[in-house]
Amino acid sequence: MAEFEYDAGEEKNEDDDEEGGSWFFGGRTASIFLIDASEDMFQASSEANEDPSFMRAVKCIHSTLRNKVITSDQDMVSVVLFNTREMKNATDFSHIYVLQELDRPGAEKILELEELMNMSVKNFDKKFGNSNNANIHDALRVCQGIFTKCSSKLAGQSILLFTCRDDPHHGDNQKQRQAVQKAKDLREVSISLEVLHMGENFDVKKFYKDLIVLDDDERESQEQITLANPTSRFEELMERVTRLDHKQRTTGRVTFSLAPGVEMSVAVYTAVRKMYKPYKVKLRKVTNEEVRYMRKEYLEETGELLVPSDYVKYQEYGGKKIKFTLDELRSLKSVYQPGIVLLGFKPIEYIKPYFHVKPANFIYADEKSVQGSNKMFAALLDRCLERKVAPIVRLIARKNSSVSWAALIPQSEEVDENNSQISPPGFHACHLPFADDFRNIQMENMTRATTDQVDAAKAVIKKLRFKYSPLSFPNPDLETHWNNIEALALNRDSREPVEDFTAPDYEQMAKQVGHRIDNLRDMVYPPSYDPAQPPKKRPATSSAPAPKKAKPDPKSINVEEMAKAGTVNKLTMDVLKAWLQERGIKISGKKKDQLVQDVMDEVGA
Amino acid sequence: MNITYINSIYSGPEIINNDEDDEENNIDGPGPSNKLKSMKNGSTHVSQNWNGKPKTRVQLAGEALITRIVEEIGEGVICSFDDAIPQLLFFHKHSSASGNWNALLNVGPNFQISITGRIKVKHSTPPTWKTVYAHDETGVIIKETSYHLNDDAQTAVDEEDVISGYRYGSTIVPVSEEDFQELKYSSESPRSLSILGYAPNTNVPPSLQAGDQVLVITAREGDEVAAVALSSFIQALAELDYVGITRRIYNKNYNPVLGVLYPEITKEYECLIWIPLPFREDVRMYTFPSLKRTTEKLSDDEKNAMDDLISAMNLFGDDEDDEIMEPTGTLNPELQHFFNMLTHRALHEHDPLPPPAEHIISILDTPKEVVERRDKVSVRLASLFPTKKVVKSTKRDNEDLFASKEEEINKKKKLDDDTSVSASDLSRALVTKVTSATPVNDFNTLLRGDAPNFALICSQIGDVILQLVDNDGGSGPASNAIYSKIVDCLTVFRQESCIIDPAQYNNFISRLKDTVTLRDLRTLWNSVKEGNLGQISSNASLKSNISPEAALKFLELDEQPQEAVPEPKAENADDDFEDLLDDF
Repeated sequence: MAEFEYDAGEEKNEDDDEEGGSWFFGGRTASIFLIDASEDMFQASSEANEDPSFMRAVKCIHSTLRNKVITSDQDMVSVVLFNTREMKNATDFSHIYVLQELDRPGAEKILELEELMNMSVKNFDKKFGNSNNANIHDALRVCQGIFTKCSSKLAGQSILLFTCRDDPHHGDNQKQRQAVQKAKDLREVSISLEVLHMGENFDVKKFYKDLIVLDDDERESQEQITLANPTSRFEELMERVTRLDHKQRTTGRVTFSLAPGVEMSVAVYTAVRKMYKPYKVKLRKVTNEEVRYMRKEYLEETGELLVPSDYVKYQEYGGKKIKFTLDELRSLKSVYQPGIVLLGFKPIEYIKPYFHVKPANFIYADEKSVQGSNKMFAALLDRCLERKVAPIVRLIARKNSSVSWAALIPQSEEVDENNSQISPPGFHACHLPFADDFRNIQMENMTRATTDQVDAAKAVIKKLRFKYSPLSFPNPDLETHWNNIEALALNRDSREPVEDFTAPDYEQMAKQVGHRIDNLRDMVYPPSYDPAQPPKKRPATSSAPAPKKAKPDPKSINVEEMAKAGTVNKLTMDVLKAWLQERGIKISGKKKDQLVQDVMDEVGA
Repeated sequence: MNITYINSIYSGPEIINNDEDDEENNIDGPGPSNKLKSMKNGSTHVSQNWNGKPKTRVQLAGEALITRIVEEIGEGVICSFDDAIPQLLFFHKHSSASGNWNALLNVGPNFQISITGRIKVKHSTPPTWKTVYAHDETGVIIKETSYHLNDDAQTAVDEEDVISGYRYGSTIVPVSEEDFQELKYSSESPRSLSILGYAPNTNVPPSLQAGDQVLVITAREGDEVAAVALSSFIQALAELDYVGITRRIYNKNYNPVLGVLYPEITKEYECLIWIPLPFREDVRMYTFPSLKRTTEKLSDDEKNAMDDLISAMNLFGDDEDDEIMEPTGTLNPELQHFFNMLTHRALHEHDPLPPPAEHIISILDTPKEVVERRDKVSVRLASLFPTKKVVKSTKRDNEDLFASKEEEINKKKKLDDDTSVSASDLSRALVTKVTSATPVNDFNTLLRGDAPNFALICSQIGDVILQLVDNDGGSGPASNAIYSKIVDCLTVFRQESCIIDPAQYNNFISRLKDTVTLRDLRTLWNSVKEGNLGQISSNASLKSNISPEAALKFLELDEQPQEAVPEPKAENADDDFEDLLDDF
């Protein structure tokens, strides 16, 4: 079976998730936000409550940067304005102003964007000024130059162009040709160009289509995102930028073998991944310089410095240490070669929701590694959707990664009314549990509700329906944490309060559901029932483990009796102490043995 | 339970059972029904032996007897070899039960249900590995930690002078721990499971499930009132095809975890299944190129071919019992392999580990019965969906000029990847590369091994020396030990280079000198001087092209780091090139 290499240093193995929230790649992702600063961009928006296009773009970049700080702070970003009166760029092209060079996002950049967001028209005019004469070719050239100058290894490079002018070089064929040629050049060096077109009447066909739709291969993909209807709302713009940003992050590429000789390549993506709080860094107090923590281990006898290869790992087995070298340990995981192998098909309905051991991955064809993958993938997806079946596969993401098997749930493409994709075509690889992963739990058949009671519950449920989206629930712990850091980093005087969206809003609920919930409660609960105080335990059945005994009231215990019976050592320290103290016997600093002895002495047993 | 495995071809003592019909009746003895099914089939038709011969009367009688014995024992099980062997072949990890998580389910403002949560599914892994020093189990290991600046000299910083901070992108924000603790989020909630609302089942696809465990939620044991209340919700959810969206507080003031509640109703029981959901921060949204056009272009032929594959590889028969590869019946091959290797190592301490056993690999291989059907349709599929691997030009291609270097890399790789080295070999000091533990010994052993690659061994000991220098903080109790170790390494390195190839040592020592100059490690350089461990001059070795004067001058540490280097550097390049072609 052919085996494809993972792009070196891509996302860390999900099994050793120690890196926490930061996504460190062998190469960094670099984005340049290229914003049109022409006068049109400052026109008031036709939509109510929306800022002018330019401000919306800057706001969007500002939010993107703030997100990047939290989710992917190794990424590089740069902000370039075009159609300014002033110029500032390495090649001295007029009307192009490099606001921020390519660098990791940080407090300074974010504050600078805030300044720009709040800048008065007068100040903007003083500092940058407007124009309509920037050459798109020049703007792209400057961006390319910024990428070339960057000394870090870049894994993905993209230019996100924000504009509302659909025909900047009207009637000037020369300039149009130049721009198209430049866009082609960019494509050749793997710099992707995305256009975020704003304003209702933007017509991509006039000019920008030729810039972004270049060859057949990519034609469909580009059409998908950029030929969506122009956006005039901030949220929409934000979502598009976010999706574009996530696009490049693949976990790896593997061969998907349907049968011997029927093989394609697919890219595997992480769709859900727990984001943790960031790790602390250690700083030198005087200078706030970052310091490095070093841990060294020596052999006492010889003072020899030990390195990882000086250790072996072991398991205790039959009283013996069974040792393995680190290499051997890794080899224990490789029962199979990396790759996806088709085992068979099962009806989708068979895949139970509780077949769940870890978050699913998303799988999409990878035509770039194996030609023909797109077609085979599309055919498999189409037939699986049609027949309502899920391929069952063995999935080994990379060498030495854990053995897993998964049901590939097919998903069809869906677009919203604005022609923006809301669910991409592909498979969700839902990892299946093994027999070893199921716990032995006894299920009891308990009393069931009557039809009336069920109907009452239905009435409650119907009143509390909502459309669930994971995007509605930010993690309050993370948000608070970042809010605090951000306040310090950006020198904010006050912190924005963090709302906990996970807390149930009973007031709102009560308003919604009204008497229905009381109705249901009265139907299922006898008048005196208190759920917080479950009824007296029935005598424990022999099979069930004995319930934890309630703490006896020390006063009710007859210590004397117990002492005589020789069972006083079963009492807790607290009970013993209380009993002895009552009788004026010193208890401080005494161990239990001593306390028991004191009790025995006192009782005279 | 006492399990007695008895094979169905038992040939016992010659006891003739006159009442042959009895066999049929008794066969429905104890034991799992599915196991008996195969046996039943075997015996109701013409009874056959495993080798296809009909069973003799004696054998049949014996079987009947055994059946009766098993029945009398009461707890026995009868099964065939086919069933018994896997039972003995596979390891079974003691599947643990789950602790009870007792809490209140908040259904609404003034309505709570007393519930218990138990883990139903959670990924089971091998026991935790422990670490021990390879060469001597009893060796006492001293741990030393220190902080250093990120400068060239790796200046040590006292622990008292170190404070905490957080990164905000490229900005570093120092924080005082006390302040931060106060501002921390707290759910300020008792242990509970609270419903936030209800959503259509289709709204929460399995692809959104997060976390690594599945809970079963039931009414508190013995509380039939709670059971009725919960039942009303379970049934209502099932009938409406809705799910509950909840937040779980594992314990008082813990951080919340979102989760979905699915209703689950069977003949035997009712319960809710709780599975974690992601927060906004945990979700990654993607956009992928539409496949619409590609799909539209598919011919009927191509679609049929894919359909045929789906039909051929169906794992789910018409009858539920026919299903193959069920999660509850599929053991984790990785765990099986782990237990196998553990046993192997315990019994054959010094042997290399064997590859995964066939019966383990087959757990997650395409099932035999499916393979046959699949292979009938796969040829057509292959011809309709041709694929071609794209050969990417990588940076490595440019290095092809240096074929010998490639060779060396491969060799090195081979050494690194050599899986035949086992832990016990390590303790018996089988050396495959120079390690920092016993570099001098390793170096000598390797040189005396079969066909040593001198350049490779030299580069390894060089790496070890630099590593030692790197790890040295410049002071502390271990420093002296490290220096003497470095000197030992240099001594033997120089000695062998004198005889074999002086360039190896000379190149290395200039590299070391660069580091020494850069980090101002005078103490170390003094040791080098004292040990007379400078460059090998033409006096010491005829192969050397360094004059004795230059060698002497080399030992002096210049104030300007650059000055001493340029000449040898040019040579280095040449020598390196030669080294690449050097094939010992």
